Amino acid sequence: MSIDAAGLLEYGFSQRAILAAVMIGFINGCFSGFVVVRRSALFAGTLCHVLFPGVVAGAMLFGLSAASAFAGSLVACVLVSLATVWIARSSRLDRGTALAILYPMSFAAALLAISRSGQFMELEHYLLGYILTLRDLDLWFIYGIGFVVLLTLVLLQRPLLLFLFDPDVARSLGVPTNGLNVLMMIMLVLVTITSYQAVGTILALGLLVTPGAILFLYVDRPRLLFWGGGVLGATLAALGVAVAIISDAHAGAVIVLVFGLAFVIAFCASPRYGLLQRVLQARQVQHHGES
Amino acid sequence: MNVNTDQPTHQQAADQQAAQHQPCFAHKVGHGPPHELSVRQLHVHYGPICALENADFTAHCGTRIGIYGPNGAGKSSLLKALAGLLPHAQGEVLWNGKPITQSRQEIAYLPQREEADFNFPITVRGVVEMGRFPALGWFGRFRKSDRDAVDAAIASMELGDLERRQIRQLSGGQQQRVFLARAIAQQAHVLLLDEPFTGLDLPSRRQLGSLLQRLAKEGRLILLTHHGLNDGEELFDQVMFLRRRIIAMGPPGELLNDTELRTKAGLPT
Repeated sequence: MSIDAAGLLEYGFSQRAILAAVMIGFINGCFSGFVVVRRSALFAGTLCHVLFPGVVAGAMLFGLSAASAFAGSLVACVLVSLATVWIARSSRLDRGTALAILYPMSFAAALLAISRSGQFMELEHYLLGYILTLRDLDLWFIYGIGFVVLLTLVLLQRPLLLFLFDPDVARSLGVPTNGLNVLMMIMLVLVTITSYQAVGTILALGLLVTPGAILFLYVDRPRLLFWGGGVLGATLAALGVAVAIISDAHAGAVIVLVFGLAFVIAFCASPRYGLLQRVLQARQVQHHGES
Repeated sequence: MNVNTDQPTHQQAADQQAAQHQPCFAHKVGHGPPHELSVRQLHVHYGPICALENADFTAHCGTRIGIYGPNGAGKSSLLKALAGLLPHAQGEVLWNGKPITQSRQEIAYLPQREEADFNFPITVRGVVEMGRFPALGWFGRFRKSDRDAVDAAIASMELGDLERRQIRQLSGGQQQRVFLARAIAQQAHVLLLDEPFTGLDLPSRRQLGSLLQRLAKEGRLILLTHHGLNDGEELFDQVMFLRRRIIAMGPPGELLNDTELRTKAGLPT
């Protein structure tokens, strides 16, 4: 079904989708600054893929539902994250290597479980997102998680800033950096769980990294990076949903493409690092050389 | 009217509190003894490897102490242990007779410059403002007095023209001054600097040297690791030779010119 722009807010499903996109985009955008400055985009991306085995495990144990998917993915991500940290701390292996071993293991186990049981075809929703078919309960769930994540970020902004900029100095001032690390990992899991409803576990990384990456090219203030990332994420996600509804296209794919397109434009236009700026500078140098 | 002379008066209590949180100018004008850092039997082990053994010394505010030693001598471990970064370190580190962990705000640790993330989206002013966080706590409101402290720290380190710049856009010497400004905004008594002169050109080294001299004259205790043997007499009031243990500690003129001690400490002669 295609809808014109004027009719976007007339239907319940499109209202829910846009409201969900705003909150999902906002918390992912806020959190993306954290992911970018910690240089943990690949870690976060791999963690997103662990959501799926979690959904499968939840479905195997309690039947496929939003609640079982949430519980399963939360437990799977937290377990894999903690195991990753534990392996990295107690051996020479780094965190990325440990995660790269644990993630395919959990994914392979999920595939085996699906092929054995021969059911759960609806799992495709969790892989690719289902933002246009959200129910009111899903919306409450997304806003609940969003509230918890945002409250945590607001309350911890000072110790977090110290921790992100210089962990050793933060620790010397009594900031519990290990505890913050674990807490941020749990927040990361919660944020990615909201994303799978919008764009699915495969595409979730786009929402989680792109806004922060865009603003990282432009701003020199942490507040602008984190809260600006939220505003940018919410705007782009809502725009993506609107375009998907109007053009009757796959919502998850359109949302991620809108984010990607915004990054390409931002990367070209950035006054400090952008391609256009470099081309202009090269021409100026050439011009001076000739004259 | 009975007065309990054992209890400090309100004014005395206020003076004590002020002395705890301001650089100790007090002893300079004869209002009390200088603040004291006491290190007793400090050991640092990384697993089976012993990095620092039986370190034992006392230092007072108003002093610049240069810590010398070859690579792996335990210089950085000593600073990290003093900063409370090595929870497994054994021994005692006391600040005015109390465990230093009770006075974290009094200590400012400045790691080696290459350990900082200069891509971080933050301006000079933003970094210096972080120095107020320990006093403000997690939720305290940033007040005019905090802004004044930040302004004063920026002016003190001659960074007024650079305060809006992102920290990557600064030279090595300017970056080092930004971190010192953060320590000043924190109103720390003790500055622990890990190789602050490394990678700086000569004018920057001179400027940093004279700033450290001024900070010490204002009553701060400065401990820093250093490699240059030629400028030690100019930069420090005391020198410590470290080679897993403290080999010697004393006036720079005596220690740096003693070839036997330098050999014992594994330093070039």
